[in-house]
Amino acid sequence: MKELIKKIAEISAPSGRELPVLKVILAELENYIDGYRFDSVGNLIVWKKGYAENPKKLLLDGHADEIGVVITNIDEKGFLRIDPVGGVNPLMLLGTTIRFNGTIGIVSMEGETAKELTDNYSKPSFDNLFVDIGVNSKAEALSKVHIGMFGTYNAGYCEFEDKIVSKSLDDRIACAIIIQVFKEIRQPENDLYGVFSVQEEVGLVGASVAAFDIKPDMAVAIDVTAYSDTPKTFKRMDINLGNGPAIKVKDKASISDEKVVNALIDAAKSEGIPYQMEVLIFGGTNAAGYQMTGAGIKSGTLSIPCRYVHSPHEMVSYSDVQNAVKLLKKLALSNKY
Amino acid sequence: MSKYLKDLCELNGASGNEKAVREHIKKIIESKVDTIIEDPIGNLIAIKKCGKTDAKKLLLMAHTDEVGLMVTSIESDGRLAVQPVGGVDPRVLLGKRVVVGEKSLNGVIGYKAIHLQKEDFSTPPKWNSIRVEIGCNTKEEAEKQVELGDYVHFYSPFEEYENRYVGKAFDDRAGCAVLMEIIEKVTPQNFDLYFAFVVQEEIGLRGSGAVLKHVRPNALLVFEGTTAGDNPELKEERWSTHLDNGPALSYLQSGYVINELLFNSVRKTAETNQIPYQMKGRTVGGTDATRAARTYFGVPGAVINVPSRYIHSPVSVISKSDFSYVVELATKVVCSDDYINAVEGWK
Amino acid sequence: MNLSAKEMLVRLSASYGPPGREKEVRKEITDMLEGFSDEVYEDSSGNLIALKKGNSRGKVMFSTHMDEVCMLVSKITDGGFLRLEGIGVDPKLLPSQKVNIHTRSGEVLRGVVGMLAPHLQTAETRAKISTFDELFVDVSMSDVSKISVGDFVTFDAPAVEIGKNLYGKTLDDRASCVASIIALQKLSKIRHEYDVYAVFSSREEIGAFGAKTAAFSIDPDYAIAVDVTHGNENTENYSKIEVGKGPVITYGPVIPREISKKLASAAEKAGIAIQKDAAPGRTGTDADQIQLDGIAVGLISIPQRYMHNPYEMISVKDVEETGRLLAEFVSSLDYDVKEEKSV
Repeated sequence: MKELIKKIAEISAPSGRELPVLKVILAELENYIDGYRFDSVGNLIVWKKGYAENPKKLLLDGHADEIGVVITNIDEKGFLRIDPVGGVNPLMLLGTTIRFNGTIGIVSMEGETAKELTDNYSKPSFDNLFVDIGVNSKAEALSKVHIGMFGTYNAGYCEFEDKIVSKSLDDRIACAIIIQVFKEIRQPENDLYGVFSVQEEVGLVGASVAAFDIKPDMAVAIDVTAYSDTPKTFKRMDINLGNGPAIKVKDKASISDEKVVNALIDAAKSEGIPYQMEVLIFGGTNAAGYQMTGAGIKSGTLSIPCRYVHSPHEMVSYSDVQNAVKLLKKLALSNKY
Repeated sequence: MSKYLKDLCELNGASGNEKAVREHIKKIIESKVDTIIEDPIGNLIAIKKCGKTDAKKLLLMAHTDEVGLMVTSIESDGRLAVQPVGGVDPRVLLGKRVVVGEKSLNGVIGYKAIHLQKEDFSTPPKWNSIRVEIGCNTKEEAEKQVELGDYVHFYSPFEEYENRYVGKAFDDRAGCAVLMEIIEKVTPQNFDLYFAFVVQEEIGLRGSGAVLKHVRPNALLVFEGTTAGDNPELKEERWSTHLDNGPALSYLQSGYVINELLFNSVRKTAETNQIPYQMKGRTVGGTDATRAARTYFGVPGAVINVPSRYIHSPVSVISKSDFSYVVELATKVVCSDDYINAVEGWK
Repeated sequence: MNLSAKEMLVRLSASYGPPGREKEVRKEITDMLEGFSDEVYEDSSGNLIALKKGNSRGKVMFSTHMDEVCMLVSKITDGGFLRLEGIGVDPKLLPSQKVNIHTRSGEVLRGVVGMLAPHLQTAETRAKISTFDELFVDVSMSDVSKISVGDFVTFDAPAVEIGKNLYGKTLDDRASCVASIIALQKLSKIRHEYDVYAVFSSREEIGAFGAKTAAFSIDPDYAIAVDVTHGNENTENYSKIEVGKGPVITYGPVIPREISKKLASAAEKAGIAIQKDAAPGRTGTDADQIQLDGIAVGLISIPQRYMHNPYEMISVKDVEETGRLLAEFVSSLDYDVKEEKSV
């Protein structure tokens, strides 16, 4: 599964530009699904039909997009200005490189005086950042990039101990988990849908529409969550890498449906899978989008604890990932929804 | 020269009070379309059919509302306390004429004389110093003229110059005018054209989602009067758009990345037809394309903007040539099948 | 069940029902509705919906939310104290408060929010307000092993009547739920053309999810949201609302003017004293989500002082009059010609 994670995490596919990763996901799932379609906003929806006479429907969602940047201006010397795509902290961009297809850019800071430079470094914003792609003129820049072109962190995959580190584990880790669940389930009793949704990072766009036509009985968003196990982190939270996937009760955007929370806990307990309970004091997931869809769908979130979310180096524990696969498999094979 | 813009801009229609604009548009387009629907919250939807069965549907959209003010308290001195309807900076209100309430009373927003100011000379005015005068000296007197919840609109007669229009509400009566031009000019051939004049964009994209109850379009195209920042006090790389550089295309906005295939189709249409265009240089601000993408079944969309300086104020400025090019580009887009077929690209 | 307005208010105020966990409130309301509706059901979002049939000339929906502001256990410290995350709760209200912890097994445990004695304070700590980052719940009187992260925590504040007013937790928006029940009681005694769907909505406090999905599935011709609004407070630039002077009718972009006027004239005909207010943008109630679905929605508010407090103050009379206004609005529709809704 690590190879699968590496393969899809390293693809550059920010919000609105998910097609490259969706194609790879679809290819991975060949022979493991009964059908697929791309919907009106670009979500990839795959399914396995259940053998029950009147099958219920379970939907697993992982968002395919990642955060990124977009070029908004190119000056006479060929320097670029950028805006964020999703929640990018400009601080994260300093000292790293950005990839616009094949073109690599270095992010640096304006400052006409030493004081201005120091001030800008202490308060980085997209108003004082620029990107250097090594060219000497606007014309040269335009032969490589254009205004409106999207880029992502230029950072790769690596492993330390039981940890996996890469850009965009938010939320490619969920994509990998869903793929694995589909691979490991031969024929479920009930219908199983996988949604690889678009534009989560800019505003839960894909999830709001993905289930409108499917109308599942239950939807589980799989997404990364914060952590409280590094020096001086959130003292009001208790989420630890390696303690198992986290069953979310609340974040800023939604409260998980009680039935979903109970189904996830039951699935974990029945298989002896470690899990932790989660109350996130910020953030939100696609579960909010599903709860607001149509007549409302019973939804919740299964989280993968992830350090350094939205940085070029997001870190998860491989055991949490494996346990999430086990837990979701059990849920899909249960009749608890 | 636009034959619709002047009347549209001079009508008053802050969010929730679009009736006059809606009725004006309806009167003009009624005889030129096959069907017209008014929904319970004031959206106006007009349809021109191509005559084919099971035809695809293209939805064109512009919003009828503008920013304005609302009377939230009638004060003991007969003046009115107001709060913004949509994004209004109190600094644009000082020393302005306004139009108040259903009776369209004249009003003035004055400000304390320069002689009497102390710290407030160098600080932005707060809402508690914005009061509308309607010539009444007591609360009782004022209560005979206005009610809580009455709207207050900018007073701003439309002006036309060689290559400029000056007035209020180009955001988004310019978009409404574009739709009306297309209704007049275009007879759809291969797909049905839906035109939505929607309410309440300015207070959070509140009207457009409901349009999708009446139509399930294959694609959406939104027309907006958008920010131009081309002035000497803003550095060039932060300008957003530049007047006279043609229609501005958005690729990312608040809450939505513009559908890539539709965006490319519009750009290609501009290039093929040698219509000048510019890329919007800022990604802040949303349009109804955001709402449509995440409502019900989700409709993919693109946005063509008319660059407008000083929007959300009583005095804004647009370029006549930009406006004409937007109409030309829009016409080319809706006369070809390329745009509506583009969304099939990834299926 | 035929309870007085005050009896219903006291009972519902005591019910436990954070957003998405409104089971107990649903049960209470279902009992109260017995005999006053044709059908009562729960939908997939956890809304409780009571249908009172008229002549099926159209549909009117009421929306009053069942959920309450609350807190959740976000961490259990090694020393056995709880850290909290709030939903709509002002942390300033917490010091020296008794709270109830609702465990997964359904037990209710006692906790108290600690406040250091004056003697142990310094000038510096005395000048500070504690936020959720500093506040903690002492559960040493309970079995902490029964508590888990994600358990809900509520105020322990049984309603009390003082003078003409009632004070209690969660009267936002259980007071409106009572008004809705009163309206159904009245409508059960008169003939009316429109079918009435009284929605007791779920999860308002975290984004009015329930009202949105209920509006979508019911698709009414008209909807009236009922919520509480700030009373007896001087809010700069806004006209003052007073507790005890009747329901408040809102004017603003979210509410079509015709609906506000219909409500006002129904009140006038029935001799119901009303107050008015203007909401220039969103209303912060179920009405916002209902309108997004393209539905003509009105808003009636019950004046309330100390919103989101353990002791929210309302006038029982305002609640009764709000119920009466809802019923009068429904019967006033009988005289209208139903507008063409769509093609």
